[in-house]
Amino acid sequence: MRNRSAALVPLCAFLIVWEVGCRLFNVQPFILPPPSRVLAVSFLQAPTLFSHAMTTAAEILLGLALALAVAVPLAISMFYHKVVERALSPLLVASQAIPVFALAPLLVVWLGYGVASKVVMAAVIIFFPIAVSLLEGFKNCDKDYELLFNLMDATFWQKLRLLHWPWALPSFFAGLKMAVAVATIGAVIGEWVGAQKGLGYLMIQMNARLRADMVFASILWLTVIGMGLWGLVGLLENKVLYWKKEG
Amino acid sequence: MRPFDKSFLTPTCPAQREVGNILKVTQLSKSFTGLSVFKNLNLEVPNGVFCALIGPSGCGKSTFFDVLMGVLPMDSGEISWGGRSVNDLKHIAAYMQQKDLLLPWFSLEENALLPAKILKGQKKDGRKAVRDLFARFGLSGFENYLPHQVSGGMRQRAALVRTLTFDRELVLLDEPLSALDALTRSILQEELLNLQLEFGKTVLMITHDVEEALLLADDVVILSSSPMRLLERIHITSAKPRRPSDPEIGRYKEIVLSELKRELTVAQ
Ligand SMILES: Nc1ncnc2c1ncn2[C@@H]1O[C@H](COP(=O)(O)OP(=O)(O)OP(=O)(O)O)[C@@H](O)[C@H]1O
Ligand SMILES: [Mg+2]
Repeated sequence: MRNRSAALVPLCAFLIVWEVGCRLFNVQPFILPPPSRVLAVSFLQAPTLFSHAMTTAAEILLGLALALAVAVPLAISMFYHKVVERALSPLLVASQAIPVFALAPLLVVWLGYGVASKVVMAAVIIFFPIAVSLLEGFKNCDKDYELLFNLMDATFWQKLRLLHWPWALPSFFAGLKMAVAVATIGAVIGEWVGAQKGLGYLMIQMNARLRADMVFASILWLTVIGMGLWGLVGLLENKVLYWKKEG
Repeated sequence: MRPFDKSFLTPTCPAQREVGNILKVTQLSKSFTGLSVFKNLNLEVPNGVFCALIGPSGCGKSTFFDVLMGVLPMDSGEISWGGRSVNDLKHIAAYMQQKDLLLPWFSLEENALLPAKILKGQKKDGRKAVRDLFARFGLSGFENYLPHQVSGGMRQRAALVRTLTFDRELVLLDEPLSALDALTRSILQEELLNLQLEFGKTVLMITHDVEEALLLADDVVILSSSPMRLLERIHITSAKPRRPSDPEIGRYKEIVLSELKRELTVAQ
């Protein structure tokens, strides 16, 4: 807790400099609104922001769900058989070389302006870190523990359930935390390209109307969503990894 | 002493005992790149015998067990059980490794139940048997603790319980009591002895404690430093339970210690 509050010091300093600077140099609010105004707008326009935020949050969560639904079976099947891993891992690595954001316009053409294209966008960029972190977790398992299970003639699925899955969870959660942050970016970029709702859509609209305060308010709400999701994953992690030594 | 559910650890049936499932190791060799751990090792352990293995640290005792269990491949040699040649003892023996290897996400009890969860044909009422063994080994009340919440000695005892719940005729124990304080150790020695007498299992136990070997074992095998050889095999006939103060134990202790000392000076 002490460490976290320490982070508040530079943040406050930054906000004060921003606020004072805006007032001192009389910066036009449509160029750079002072933080006080951003905060005010964030609250005053809360109903609008909230309804857009719900769309974006839904996109992120559905994107996560879709990515998990693909990545988990993929990691398990690659772990199940070396042949599957050898067949798929070059493709996976290659898929990461594609600038996925560049696909966003196509996704909109294929899947429309609705939620679907953003969900797929988010899922496409995050399934890889999730699959890799899980697979690495499986493979990092201590050989001595594997021997213990082999001496009992445990099946692949018994070993997966009782040994490899729990073993991989810390690594999996590391991947998932990264994925949550990246999924937010994916959803927003999807919305920039073409959408009817969502914070990314709102930013584009407001930017065109020179409402910089609303753009910043959208960013603030996005940040809150991102941190909220991060916090949720952290809570889940603490719950699932109850057996991790404290400290 | 608490009553113990004997149905769980099936006693070796008398018919089998007559056949005499002798463990026989012939001309067994194992080397790691450039290091011969043991060469042409021979060992015979009759059914129902408690055999203790003593030897200098690093002489290859754990490696010997690993080879027996098929965890490590042998270079050459033969292992036979009950007159039949086998590749390894994987399906015959329960093996307690030197490391406790408890799963950190399971409680001590769930860890001890692992064989029951995995092995087919393992008795379903494993939980009661595990509870009984926990009581005998002084782990009552700690069933739901996680491994990292208890002492090394407790982890070791939980690992011992896990090994004993394997339904196997032969038991291989690699320093099972090494992490225990003197009192707990002597209690556990007694319990080990009771279990072995009750169920007539064949036990091979590695230990560094000469007294422990003399108190528990029918046969004490003294091993040389690497490459590991059988230096001496002492058959101890005195009735069990034995006491450290028994004059016979004292006499044997002298013999074993002087043998070990001689081996160490020869090695140097
Ligand atoms: N995987 C391995 N690769 C190479 N050398 C090994 C390996 N495992 C063990 N050794 C070596 O083999 C020798 C015997 O080791 P081992 O663990 O069997 O000894 P030990 O008698 O059980 O010793 P301790 O009493 O300390 O447990 C040691 O010199 C060790 O360094
Ligand atoms: Mg050893």
